[in-house]
Amino acid sequence: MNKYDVVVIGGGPAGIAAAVAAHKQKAKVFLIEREARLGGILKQCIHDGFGLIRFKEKLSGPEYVERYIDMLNQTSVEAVTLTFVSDIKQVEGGYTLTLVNRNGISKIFGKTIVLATGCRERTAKQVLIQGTRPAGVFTAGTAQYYVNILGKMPTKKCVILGSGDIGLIMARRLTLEGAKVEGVYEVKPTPSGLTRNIVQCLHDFDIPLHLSHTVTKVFGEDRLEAVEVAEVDEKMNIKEGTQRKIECDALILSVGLIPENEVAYSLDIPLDRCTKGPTVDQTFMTMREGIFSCGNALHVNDLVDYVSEGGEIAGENAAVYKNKERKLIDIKTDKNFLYIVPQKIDINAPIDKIKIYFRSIKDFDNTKFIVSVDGKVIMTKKYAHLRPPEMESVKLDLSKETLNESSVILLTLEE
Amino acid sequence: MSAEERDKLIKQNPAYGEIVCRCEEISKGEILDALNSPIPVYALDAIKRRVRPGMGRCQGGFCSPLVMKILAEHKGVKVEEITKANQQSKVLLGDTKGAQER
Repeated sequence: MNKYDVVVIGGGPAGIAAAVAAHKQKAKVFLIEREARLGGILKQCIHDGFGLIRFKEKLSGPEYVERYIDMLNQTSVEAVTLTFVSDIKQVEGGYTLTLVNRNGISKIFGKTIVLATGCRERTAKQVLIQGTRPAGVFTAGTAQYYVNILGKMPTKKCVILGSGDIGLIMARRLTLEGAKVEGVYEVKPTPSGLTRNIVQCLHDFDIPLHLSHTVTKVFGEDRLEAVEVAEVDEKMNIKEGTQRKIECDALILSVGLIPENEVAYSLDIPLDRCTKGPTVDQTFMTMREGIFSCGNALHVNDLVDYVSEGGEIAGENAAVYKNKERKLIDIKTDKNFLYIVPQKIDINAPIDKIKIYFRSIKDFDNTKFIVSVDGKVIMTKKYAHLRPPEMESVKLDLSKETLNESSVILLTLEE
Repeated sequence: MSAEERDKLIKQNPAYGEIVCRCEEISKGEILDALNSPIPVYALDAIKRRVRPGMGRCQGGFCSPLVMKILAEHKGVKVEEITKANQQSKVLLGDTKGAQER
């Protein structure tokens, strides 16, 4: 059985960055990708805007990931594609992974594992729309695959439910391909996607965005023929009398992404209720020794630049991992946070360069982000705007603080 | 099936080692078996009921384009000829502009 210091599961932007970073730390690395080619979801993201932070350039998804594949090709990392991890077992000093591919079943050993399995889309089943089940109901990512990879049109006239980024991108993409996007309907009173996508994908193409609206019914036996939309009140209950029927041939759903953590479930790794990814410390190690998590499997990011950064944190730490005891303390937050990553700090690991990622629970203007340790303020940062769809990150240095297991690290947002 | 038996099957037919539906762990080989059976089925829902791709947590989000490609290739038709259930339930409505030009 081949043995590795670091086994990375997932060959998208997070996994490749993790593999390259682990290799830089002189680790022997194995990278496993399920699909035929590396790159993950970026393969179908032909729009621009990737890499503004990393490369100070506006790249398309394939261009961005090509740069990382080039870096990977200059390392001795062994990468396999069309290979599926079917089982992981804990053994002395690490884990045994069972792999399935066209050559058969094989096993490898990894001292550590980096989970970089990305996320999946929330489906029609999870938004409870009444009516028939005709062809023509797509998640935005699947519609994107049909258009950008297969070169096929899934619709001529559609309604988009949800204002997530992929839905906004697809509103523009389908319009450019000659389809009519009747409108984007968002159940919440605020959009879910990035402001730049609302402007560049909807406003610039005169596609209406209907906030506090949802799709209530689907019509059509074979192919979708119409949908019913309605306005909702602040409790998200349908306002009677506002229902309206729209003739169209497709309903495209952009109603959220869920970190893909089947492998983590199988290993009983505790997940965070808010992120739906594993709970991690500042090294991105999960609550299971030697198993790390990064990218959209850890929490759904809005920019790939942060995905690459997170991959590097996980890969680097997996490479230098020594099985020594952790001393974990929780990072506490007030009620103004939607979530934070990491959720814990290991005071036995380096604490001078901690990267904290967070989202606010609602829109804030002119707010102050405050970090305190045992009641003493150690850092503040001002934000002109905080929006839940736009993730923020801060660097935190705790090396000057005397921390023990009963220390209280608290993050607050001042209104 | 034990890992050894599965390994043997894949060595005989590598398509059994190509996982198409990650949620239900369904291989291309299993889908091809359903297509080569005495009563072949060429619709997404039909294949789903026989072999289970698309039954899992992503509800076909990742695998339905791949399954459609396998069905189209096996039948020797364009991918837009493959339907969801009966022949009127078209999934795709023709080429994009770029694909038309090629």
